[in-house]
Amino acid sequence: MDYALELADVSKKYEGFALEQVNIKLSRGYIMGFIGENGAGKTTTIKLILDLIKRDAGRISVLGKDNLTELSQVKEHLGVVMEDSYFPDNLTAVNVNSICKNLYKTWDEAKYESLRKQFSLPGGKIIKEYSKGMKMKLSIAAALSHGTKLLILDEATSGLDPIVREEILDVFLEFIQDEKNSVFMSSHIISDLEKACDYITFIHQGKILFSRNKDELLEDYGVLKCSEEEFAGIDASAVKGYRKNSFGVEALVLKDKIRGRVTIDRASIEDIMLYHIKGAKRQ
Amino acid sequence: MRGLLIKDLINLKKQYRVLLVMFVFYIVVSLTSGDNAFFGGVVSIMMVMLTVTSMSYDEYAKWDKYALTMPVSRRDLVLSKYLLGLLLSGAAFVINLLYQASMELPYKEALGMAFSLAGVSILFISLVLPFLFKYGMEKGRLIMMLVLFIPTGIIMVGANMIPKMGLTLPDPDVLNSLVYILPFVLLIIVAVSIISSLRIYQNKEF
Repeated sequence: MDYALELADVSKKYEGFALEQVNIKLSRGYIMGFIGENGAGKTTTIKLILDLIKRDAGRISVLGKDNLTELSQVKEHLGVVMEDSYFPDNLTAVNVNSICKNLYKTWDEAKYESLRKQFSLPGGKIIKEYSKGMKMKLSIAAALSHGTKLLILDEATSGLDPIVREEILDVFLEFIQDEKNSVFMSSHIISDLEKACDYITFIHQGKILFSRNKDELLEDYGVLKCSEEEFAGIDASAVKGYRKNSFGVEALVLKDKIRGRVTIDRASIEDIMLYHIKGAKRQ
Repeated sequence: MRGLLIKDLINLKKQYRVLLVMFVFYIVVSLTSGDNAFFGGVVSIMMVMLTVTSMSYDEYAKWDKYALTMPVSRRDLVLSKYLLGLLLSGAAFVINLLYQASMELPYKEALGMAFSLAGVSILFISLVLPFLFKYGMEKGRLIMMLVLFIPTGIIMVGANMIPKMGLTLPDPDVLNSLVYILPFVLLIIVAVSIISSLRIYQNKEF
């Protein structure tokens, strides 16, 4: 299978934090959401993919090329937007065009101009005077304007207002219309990912808890609401996490494994994430 | 590489106006004091310092991390800063020559002065860049000051000490012949500097 992005048993140790045996496979033509708490290892994983930090073990390939030896071959088609790195302050959007023209062989001036207009980014204003949303839009415009086939986003929509996020998500969805294109996006704004993604990969304390098709995930899990007595009768292997409140118990369960007449609500990705991390575990 | 240089040259555009004002000021100072070397020194140092300024802009924007996701290698990023330093030293060289020509300084003396100032500029970036790549701008700035002041201090103290200790300076002829070796010494320093910077940057984590 031809993957846009593949991580196999990737590990990286820091003092007090370790990324362990990370396995991720993103097929071409899909959007994968990469979720987890702050400090779960999302940015570390993305830095490893981009060879910005050195890994201790494992293998990574980007658009079919090894990321240590052959990354330069695919960088022309790689668009990256990171939360905290931009073009330097004194440049304008017009300057960015003249710079990128000389950095990318594949630079598509017309595409950049049309995105710049779509995002209503002024040509002559220096980046220092941009708002955070404008900076992000500029990065995204640049990231999509060079025959981009894989877009990697690290918290690109965080810190932006809902209108701007919506606007940006639409651009990603348009990008993914071409079935050769893929997106790997980390975010802790789960609703964005729920809207846009085909796959969800969930990282917690440096380990991947699951990496699955979103629809299957939503199909498999449900939120069970019942009394404590009823809860005691439920197969422990069905329960991923629960919490007690004054009305009884709410638990994230695998729907298939629940027998009998109980109420199971639809679980959102947010529920799935919260119960996995915060919910009490049944022995 | 060309894109990186264009980026730096555009990004520094605000500095050019400041430089122009400073140059006019120092031309007046030089004219009133009659010290031609002074203006030359100011031009060279200020121009080559732009390399350092461009690096602090980059650091502030976290540009390097971003640039490395483009078709830009770590090697390109390092070499582009040396090239920028060379380019700016070259520009200072031209400004110095023009200035001295307008002062009607003897041709040989003017050329000698412009060349030695360019040499000092290149020596400066060669000494400073590896530290800036290694320690970043904040710590690097401090080290840069030491790089500037320690040799100056040694020379000043040394110049005082040598006669006091009863030593005599070498014969001027010997010193003059040393001048012809200096470009080669500089070349070696530049090469060592580039190799160390490349090695430092290759292992850098972002």
